[in-house]
Amino acid sequence: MTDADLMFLPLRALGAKLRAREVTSVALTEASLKRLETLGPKYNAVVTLMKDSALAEAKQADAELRAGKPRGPLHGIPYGVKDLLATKGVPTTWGAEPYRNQVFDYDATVVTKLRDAGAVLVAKLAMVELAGGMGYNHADASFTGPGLTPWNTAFWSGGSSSGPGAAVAAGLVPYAIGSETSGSILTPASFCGVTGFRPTYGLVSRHGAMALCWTLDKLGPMARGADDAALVLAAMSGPDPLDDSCTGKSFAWGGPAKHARKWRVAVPKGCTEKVQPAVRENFEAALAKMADRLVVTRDVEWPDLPWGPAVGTIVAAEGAAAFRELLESGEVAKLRCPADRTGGYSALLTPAVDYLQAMRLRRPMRAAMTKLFASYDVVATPGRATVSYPADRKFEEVYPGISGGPPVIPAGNLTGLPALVMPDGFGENGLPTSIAFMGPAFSERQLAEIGTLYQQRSDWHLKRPAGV
Amino acid sequence: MTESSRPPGSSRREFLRLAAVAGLAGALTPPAAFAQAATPAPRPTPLPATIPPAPPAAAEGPSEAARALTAILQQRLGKDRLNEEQWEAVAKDFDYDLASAKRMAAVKLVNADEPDYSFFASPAPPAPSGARAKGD
Repeated sequence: MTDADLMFLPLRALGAKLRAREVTSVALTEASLKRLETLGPKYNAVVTLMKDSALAEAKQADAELRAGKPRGPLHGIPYGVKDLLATKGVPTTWGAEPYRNQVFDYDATVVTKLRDAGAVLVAKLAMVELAGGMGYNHADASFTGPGLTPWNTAFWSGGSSSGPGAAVAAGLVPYAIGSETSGSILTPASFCGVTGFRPTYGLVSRHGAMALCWTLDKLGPMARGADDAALVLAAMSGPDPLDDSCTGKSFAWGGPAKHARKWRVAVPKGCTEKVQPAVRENFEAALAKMADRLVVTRDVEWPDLPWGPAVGTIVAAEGAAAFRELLESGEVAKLRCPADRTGGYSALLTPAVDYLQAMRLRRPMRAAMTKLFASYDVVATPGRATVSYPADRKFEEVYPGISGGPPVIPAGNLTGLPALVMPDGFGENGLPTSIAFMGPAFSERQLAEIGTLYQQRSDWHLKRPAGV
Repeated sequence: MTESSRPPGSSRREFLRLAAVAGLAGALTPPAAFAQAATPAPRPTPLPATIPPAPPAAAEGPSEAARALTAILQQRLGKDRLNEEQWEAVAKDFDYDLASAKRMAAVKLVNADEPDYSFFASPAPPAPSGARAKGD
């Protein structure tokens, strides 16, 4: 089995090989480091390799496994994190030139939790500068250059978790940690053909993560399959006294339950009419694959509320507060994307009443989603209306007339709901398309079960890009 | 970026351009600059019947209100902070903000509707376990 074959194995298979001593954690880690070093630059996916600490963690994992002391399904398996998670003594750049040499003297809680689970951190992965908070309109919005999807390097890997998406898709790491304020896990997962899992707000600690928007930011896994993503999410979740938003709830995942229940699925009105044809066809084919387990209702009306303006106002106000020093000092001019150099300024004058109006709207918004989920178990939509965007053009210049319909992603983020996105085929230019499921708060188990069911019946998540 | 009705980079400026074209009658959801965090390009949001029209000047350039707000920012930060083209972009962002605020205000709330966060008078959690050392 080649290094590449190993990197594309499901986590349970990798874990079995480690416990059976068919492969060592050191060998896996070295393979991952080598691929990150040689292939990573092709996709602008890597910021910092953690070679020394990774090999030390791998040696420790091997010793524990030899001693018959397994820590769990992630023990000895390498992974990467979006470079907005603090790692003690190693630069944490937030993808932005002004923070290129920033070093924290502590680890993010998620990094600590994964280390406790025996996982081996091999790399800090690239991201859109400041998680896209300044209004980028071009893939080239990071000091590491434009993130490129391994399926076609003329196209963007998505943002803002661009490195995690590309690194998982290319088999540089078996899984990675991304973050989402409003779409930053779901979009790169879609554009890179991997599985992304956005957890319920409050399930995973954000301590040590760059704050863009305190009431919207979430951390979640990006992996090959839904089972892998659920295993990682289980290790990341749980209480943390260092993050006030943590509810204290945890997510446990041993695998799908053995039952044959049917899920009630809402397909929002207008979510497929104006998407790219391949996106629509693949979405319908994915639903058809699970037809015996889904009760699908079409044309479900989406709650008529100002989702976009509310998410925009909240991120503007909280983002301007989080980066006030950067904006007022003028250091923002050092950002890579020209739109990012001016995009944050008007947010400095966001009226408090507008921010509070947006925050007040979140209650009726939550009520609207609660009402929706009283009738349905999940909402299903195409993950994105299009395949990825060309890496050398402004976003607004491509795909005119394409629309994804109702604002499901802003709605899900404003109300803190979990979502799972998975590859469901390919579209224009050999690029992946995706299907997304969103459920009520803390319905991660249901989403993971739907995801594993779909991936037991399809093989899109097992496809590999050429040249990896 | 958020929704997928528009190309992913859709900024406030793009929102305004589309708003001008569509008279705000279509599906336009503006991710504010900050709101694009993630993935630019929100899907369209159906507009309530009470939605106010787009700022009149959106088609040609920033509105007077947006220019006034830009002037405040110039006074605060110094006009030489940005060039003319950049200030124009900022002014257009203000128009987005104004349109966005009107859309939110069109939703009727009652006096007792509170913001969706809570303040607790309980002891504060421990501070982060380390200080940040900013490079260079």
